[in-house]
Amino acid sequence: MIIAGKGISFSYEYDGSGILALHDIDISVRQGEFVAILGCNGSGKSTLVKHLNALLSIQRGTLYVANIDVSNREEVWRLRRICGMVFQNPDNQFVSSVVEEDIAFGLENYEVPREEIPARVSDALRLVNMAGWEKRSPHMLSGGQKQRVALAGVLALDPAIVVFDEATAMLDPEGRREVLEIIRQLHAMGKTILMITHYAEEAVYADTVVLMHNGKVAACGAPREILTNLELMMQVQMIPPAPVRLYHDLKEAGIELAYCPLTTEEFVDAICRLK
Amino acid sequence: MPIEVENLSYTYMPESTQSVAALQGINLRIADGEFVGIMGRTGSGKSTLIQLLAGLLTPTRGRVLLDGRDIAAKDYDRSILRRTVGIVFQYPEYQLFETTVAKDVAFGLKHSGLNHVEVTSRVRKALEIMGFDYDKIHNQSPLALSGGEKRRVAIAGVLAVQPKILIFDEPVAGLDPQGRYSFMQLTARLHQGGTTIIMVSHNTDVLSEYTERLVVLEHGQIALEGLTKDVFMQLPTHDHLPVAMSTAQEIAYMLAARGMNLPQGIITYDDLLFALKAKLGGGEEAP
Repeated sequence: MIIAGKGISFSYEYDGSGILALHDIDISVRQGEFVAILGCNGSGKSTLVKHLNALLSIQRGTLYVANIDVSNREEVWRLRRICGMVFQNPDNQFVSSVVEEDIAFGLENYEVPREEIPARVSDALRLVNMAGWEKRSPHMLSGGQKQRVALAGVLALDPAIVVFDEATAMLDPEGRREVLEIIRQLHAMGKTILMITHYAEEAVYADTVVLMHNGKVAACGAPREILTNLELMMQVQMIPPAPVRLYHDLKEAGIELAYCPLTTEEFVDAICRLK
Repeated sequence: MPIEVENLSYTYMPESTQSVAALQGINLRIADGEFVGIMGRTGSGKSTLIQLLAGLLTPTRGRVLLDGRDIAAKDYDRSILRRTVGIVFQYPEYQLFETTVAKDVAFGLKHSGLNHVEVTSRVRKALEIMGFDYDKIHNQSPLALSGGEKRRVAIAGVLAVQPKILIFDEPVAGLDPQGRYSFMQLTARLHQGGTTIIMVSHNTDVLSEYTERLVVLEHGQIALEGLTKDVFMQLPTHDHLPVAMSTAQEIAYMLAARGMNLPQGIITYDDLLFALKAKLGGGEEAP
């Protein structure tokens, strides 16, 4: 297990009220697994992943990431190199006004030998389909391009785990497609992926869905098992993908499909089979 | 108070070699009580347009008319504009700064000339519209609220001014499905109460369900404009546009490609469900 956590609890303790943002969470992720963490605002998704590279210090429980104990402060830098993160707003993630310098920034910080840097920068840009944009200003790019540059900055360090914290929330449909496509490519390359989202449609392509609610893991399993469970999804205030809702609404009207579809393609297929 | 733009252009850094023509010759009229959506890719000029509508930028060329009066004219009383047009920016929750929720919501009324009782009543009403219990929330620190609550408090601050025209820039980005739904229900209620709503969004499904009219911007110009249904129906013939079809529409097209033709004009989820029920029968008549 590249991520192994047990009994993780966490409280932000605003005004000493001590409400638990995480409540006794167990999590385990295999090397190369693509995990979607799904849940509503305030369910604890971001709080949980911020433990992975010690952006938040663990308060209760144990967590090992690539066999590193996250509570060991001496390992923080190694930990952050192994587990990279991309956040919601790309504009908050730039430090330089030139794309290639922005990507080199992280490498310099980690004392990557100078002669290695140019190759790593161009490899990372190629990975996110942004080769040729080295000299541009990040601020002149589209939303999807900005997010891909932010991701290149993370990939240049060759992390084993890449965490996307609602990395598509700000993007137009085109940018969202671009970023999701790259996430799938990274997964195919063998990276371990954790993707936080509250769009059930985005979780469809994951290996595993972790459904969070009120700081707890409400359910964990294959996308088909979790996302087609109407009752469970409603309980955690999530809206199932449109094909799942259509399946249930049609069933109520006496039209029964052979199986509950997860994607639009499956839905169209199931409808066509009816005839 | 209708808001109109005539031949509106805006160029960032016009004197510089890096000048960017963000808007070029836009014409648009938004009547009282309309619900208009503005779509387009990042950089298409959406945010520039709404900042011009709110008088936060001065046109490079052309005019913005509020109730027939040029808002950039030297003798225009801009306090009319400030009272009439409210704008909610992206991530308004980052703009909260007062020590209590009530003070934050009241901030925009500081120079309104309203007395203390009137201000309190406006603040109470605005918070109640946004779904809060005034007595519970008004004395809390806005910074201790959750992200979704903060956003609602920030919007209440704009509502307290009671603008006739409300402009939203990406109001549902980052909200979960429940938050998105309740926000859109609130907006629909404001619209029913007569407020003009102008909403910039990437969320095709939200725009298809709630807006009456759509404007699609591309490269600083209006690429498509019309009734929401008509604009969506034209999208497939404009595949260079970065605007996605709604999910229901996409499914209808995929079904058509497989030989199952549903009636024209399926845009929303309910359109699709209704058409499928009618087509597939299922032994029972739809009520």
